[in-house]
Amino acid sequence: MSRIGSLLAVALGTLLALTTIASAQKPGGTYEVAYDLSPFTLDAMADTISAKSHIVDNVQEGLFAPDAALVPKPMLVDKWTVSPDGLTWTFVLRKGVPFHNGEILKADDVVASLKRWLVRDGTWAPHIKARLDSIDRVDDLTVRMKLTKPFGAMLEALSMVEGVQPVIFPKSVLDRYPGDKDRVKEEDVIGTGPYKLVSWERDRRIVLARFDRYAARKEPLSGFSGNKTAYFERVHHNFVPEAAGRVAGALTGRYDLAINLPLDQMAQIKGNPAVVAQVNPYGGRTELTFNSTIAPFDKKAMRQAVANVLEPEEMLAAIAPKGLYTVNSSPFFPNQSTWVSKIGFETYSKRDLKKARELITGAGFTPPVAITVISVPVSLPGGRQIQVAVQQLDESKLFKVDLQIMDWTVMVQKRWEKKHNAMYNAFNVWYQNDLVAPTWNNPQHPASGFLVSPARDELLERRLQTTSAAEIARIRDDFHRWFWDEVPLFPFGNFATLDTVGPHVKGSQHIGGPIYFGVWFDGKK
Amino acid sequence: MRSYLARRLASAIPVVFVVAIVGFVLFRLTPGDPAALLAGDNASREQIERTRQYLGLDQPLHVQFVRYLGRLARADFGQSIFLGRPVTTAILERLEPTVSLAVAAEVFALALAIPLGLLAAVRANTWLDQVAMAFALAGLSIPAFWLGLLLVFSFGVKLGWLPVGEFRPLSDGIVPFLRHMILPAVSLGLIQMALTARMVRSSMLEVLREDYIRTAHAKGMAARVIVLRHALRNALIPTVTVIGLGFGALVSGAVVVETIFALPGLGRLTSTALLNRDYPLIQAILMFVAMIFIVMNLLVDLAYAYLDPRLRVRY
Repeated sequence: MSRIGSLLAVALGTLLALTTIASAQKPGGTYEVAYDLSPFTLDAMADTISAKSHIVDNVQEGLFAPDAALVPKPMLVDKWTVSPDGLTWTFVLRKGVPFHNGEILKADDVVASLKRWLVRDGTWAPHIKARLDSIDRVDDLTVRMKLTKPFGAMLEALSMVEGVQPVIFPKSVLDRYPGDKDRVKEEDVIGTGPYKLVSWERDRRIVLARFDRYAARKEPLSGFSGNKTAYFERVHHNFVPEAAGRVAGALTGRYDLAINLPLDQMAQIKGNPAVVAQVNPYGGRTELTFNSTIAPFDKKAMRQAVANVLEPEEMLAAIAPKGLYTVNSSPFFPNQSTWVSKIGFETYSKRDLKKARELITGAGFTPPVAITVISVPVSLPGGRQIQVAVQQLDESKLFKVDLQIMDWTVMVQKRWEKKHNAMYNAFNVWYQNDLVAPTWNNPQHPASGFLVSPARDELLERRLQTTSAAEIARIRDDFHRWFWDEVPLFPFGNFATLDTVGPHVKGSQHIGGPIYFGVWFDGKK
Repeated sequence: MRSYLARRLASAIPVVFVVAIVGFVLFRLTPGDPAALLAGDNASREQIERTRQYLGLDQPLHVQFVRYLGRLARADFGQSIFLGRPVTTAILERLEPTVSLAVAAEVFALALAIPLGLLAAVRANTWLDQVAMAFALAGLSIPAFWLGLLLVFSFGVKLGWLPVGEFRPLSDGIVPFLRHMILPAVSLGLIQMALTARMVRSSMLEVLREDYIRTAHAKGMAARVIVLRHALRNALIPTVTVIGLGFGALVSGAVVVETIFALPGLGRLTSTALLNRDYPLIQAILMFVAMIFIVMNLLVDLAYAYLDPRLRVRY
């Protein structure tokens, strides 16, 4: 078959598949969800917790949104341009997009929302603010952002679906919350999303209802982008903190979707016809972050020594059956194709105690070197890895670990005191979507171990200056070489998260969190 | 009686005051930084300090304490740090599931404990007594979290007889309310049942040895009347203490059961407040729990008077 013929066949096949899917999608029903954590607020810009984002992502939208491959795609934006010098970004909004309160999206809403986001976000916004000249309404549907220096990660920043999110509120709502610390109340969580918020009974459930006037995009749904049509009349987002309760509810058919189930329940779930396992292979990552402000990890050789002692696959196998973890040397997730790299894999995966000893003695220390590691309770997903890591370090006779387990509130305090030598840390996919955002790459943040490195600053600046894919690829490789030379932290690899859906649920996907659009019931509940 | 009530309520004021002081000091001494937590994981050092100032946690402890007492004097318990709303609203919202659960657990406990204790006492040292007390001992020994999980998987998952979680308010109808409340009430009430059954048995054994019981028997009174009308009423006096204080414990100690059965009650609110060092909220919950115990103590004393006419004279 000729190349054109093959392309035509693929196009026809895709069209047929899409037509079949479209005809199968049935509106109606109430989607019962078992979710683990309760949020404190539903204000997209007032907290960084995922429990908030997983509601916001179904209710509000930003100018851009990541697709299934985590590439930013336009959402509320129709067209956008960036000037050749990279200093002027112009965003033209889609026409006639309604908010849940009946107002129509206008440039003033975008300006007000982005200004609020710039004040509150601690990851991307500081870089933009440092370069921002002005952000203005040009006309009803056009917003212009003028910078003093280029900012190459603009689309990635504006497509964040976790953390402090750059979603668009009606200006009329934000005018009622002028203070720096004001939190938008739930009745004012108004967006342009496919669902609208109906009620929030604390610790019981959040109820969402389909927004019948939702202005869907024409492109097919992919991740958080494209046609995000809602099919359910209602979504009951129930808070079920105990994993056993979520498992039991899933097995009895009480819940159509049960989130974040223990990985060791996989066998039981797979053997049960009442549920279908839904695995997100790269759900989370844990790591050991070195405090580079005090001895012994102020010395690069000592951090490299730990990397030569730890054996990550053993740690991953401790928390998940084979197939539910990924050995990955990059601090980026395997599905972050723009940024992930194999550079450094050998250092990461190879255990070399002889070399570790040489590095320790070369740095002027005598094994075993006493170190204090702080960690949250190991009951958290992936948490048992830290115990295996400590065992590996102790058994090497090169380190003697004092593992201090504490709750998160204490750990947040301790990590700023900088008296620990290393800390156990966990991340989900969204915070790593670029070199700019991750807290582990911000020397001001405890998750980075406070490692100050001019070489990294230079890499970061290169990234901020460019939108070129080729240059980004070069930066990615340079960054990984720097990473495995400096070893600011040791990534343990990635583990899966496990959800279940009922066999009657179609179209469900889990990309770092539950998605309620593009999902429907097919068959009897 | 009215002056007795007034005296009792007045004597509660210093207790509440002491609880307020102890709560304030203890929670401030506990390590953990709510400002850093509230500022968010991405916050810079400066943002955390700004949040601390905003919450007033940058002030010296004695200044914070004086402000706290000032608010307390105006019956203002303040705003929850994390929920961003008045703590009284947060507590009142959670009362229905918790009180429903506590009442259901208490009803279950009493419905089982009184007949069991009676039976064991009346048939003391027989196999019936041994079986009843072995059951009570098992009830004391089984942790609520384990029993809860066991009930969920047996009656919820395997048999499918009862729902496995979720709270349905009474306004949804009595049947759904009860169906959702049975398993949590059994999990929470079993220990209370066991304690009460053992107390009923030992009190009944003492009462059954009293002269007036022997007299009643000598007068030819029916055994059923002696046990139910004369012995049980007197045996209930010490038992009422266990029931009353036990109810206080059921209201304040249902964290685990509320978590397993996904009930949005005071237990889960307490656990969240503690984990986040939400000082205003946890202090208010502590005072609320103290007041529950004070009220329960008062009700227990009033119940004594109802059960024993001799005590009424003293009030």
